[in-house]
Amino acid sequence: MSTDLTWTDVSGRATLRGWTQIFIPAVPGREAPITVAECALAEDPRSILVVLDESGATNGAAIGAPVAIGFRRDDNGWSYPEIVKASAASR
Amino acid sequence: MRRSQSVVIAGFGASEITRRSERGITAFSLDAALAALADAKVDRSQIDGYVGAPFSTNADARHAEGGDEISLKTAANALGLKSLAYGVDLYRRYATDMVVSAAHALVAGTCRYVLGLRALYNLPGPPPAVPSAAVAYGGEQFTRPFGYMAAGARFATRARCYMERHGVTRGDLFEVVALSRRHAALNPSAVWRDRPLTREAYLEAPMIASPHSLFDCDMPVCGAAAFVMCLERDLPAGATGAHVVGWGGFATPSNVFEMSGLGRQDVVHCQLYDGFSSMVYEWLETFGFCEEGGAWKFIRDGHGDRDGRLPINTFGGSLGEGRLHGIGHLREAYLQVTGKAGERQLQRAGPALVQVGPFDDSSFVMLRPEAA
Repeated sequence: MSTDLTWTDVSGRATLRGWTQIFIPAVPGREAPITVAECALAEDPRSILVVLDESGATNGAAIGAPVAIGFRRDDNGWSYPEIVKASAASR
Repeated sequence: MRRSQSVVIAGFGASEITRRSERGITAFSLDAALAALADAKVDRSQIDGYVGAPFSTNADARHAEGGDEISLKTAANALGLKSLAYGVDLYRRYATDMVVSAAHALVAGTCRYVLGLRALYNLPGPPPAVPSAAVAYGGEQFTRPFGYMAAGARFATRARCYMERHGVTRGDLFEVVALSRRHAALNPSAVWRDRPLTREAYLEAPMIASPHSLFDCDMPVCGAAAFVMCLERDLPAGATGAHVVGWGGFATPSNVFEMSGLGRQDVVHCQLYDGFSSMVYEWLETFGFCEEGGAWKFIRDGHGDRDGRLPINTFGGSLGEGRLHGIGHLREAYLQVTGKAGERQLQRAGPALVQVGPFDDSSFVMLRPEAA
């Protein structure tokens, strides 16, 4: 373990570790259903990013499918990771 | 780690379990605590230790003292506990952790009789699985915007992965729920006791967070259970003790076996946390009760039934009894180990393994009728 930490850019490439479609209103301001995905970053698969998938691309996708993650900025200036594209395999 | 002195659960008590109530959480807590004291043959004036774990698990919990949570101070005041040498509320921990903390207070000599209390309450208002606040604080800032803690989403993603990897269908997942309903039929307190569920009804139930449907989620309830713990030498005449022979925390699960000097082959029944149906698979496989990826077959083939190789959740689990967040599992282990399980008493009472919590945050207790 080291305390010598530095910022580094990552590619946004990841693999799909799991997903669920939630049919009850789980996020205020968003209508159900929504799709939530867990993505393991290519640079270090131990780093798991949980994202909303508004593209719907992961819904039905196979576990392990490649995905790409970007950021979306909301009206308050906050940035949220989201799926920008996913493999169309196993739809 | 070895036990220096033998610790027992001396008695257990519970309130009624109901989906809604006009009575408050303090009333449910008093029902449970007084029943536990009576079962343990201990007077409340003798209680000099208290362990609670007040945490409402609902996604939209108000976390309101005396509303959906009850603290040490309120419980001690309501019960008139005037001689507490030690009292503590554990932060976001489970019934199994309460047992360990009580054991520590007893073995250290700080306390002679420790009361443990866990109460849940389903407040009126919006559906408890749905977060309504548009703002989140603390760790929830990083989960709530993605709906990750709503409706068991993080367990649903894991279940999806398990099912895909091992070729498990929703029809297979039904077997866990069916097992819970069968066992709940023998539990007078269970909210689903007289409600058998057909495969067809299960498969047609509304989806909550795929692959979990309505019946894969435990029912939010109002209810409480409590226990009294002491050293074996202090067990009151007429009380029946269950020996706490081992425990393990989330980072050291196997310690529950090492400390108790038992192997998994010695365990005769287990009470496994089932806030969502797919959770029952986790520790069956991790502890090797069945092969990796084979837990769903283990359940499907009847091995978890009362006459199976390893009876599981013999009170119906949370899925059958209601969401008592693991205190129901601990209570069932106590009742079975002490021969007090009534109509659902198993022939072989123990050793019994209790596991409470999610796959990555579980704690464990081993109970048996006799000391090591």
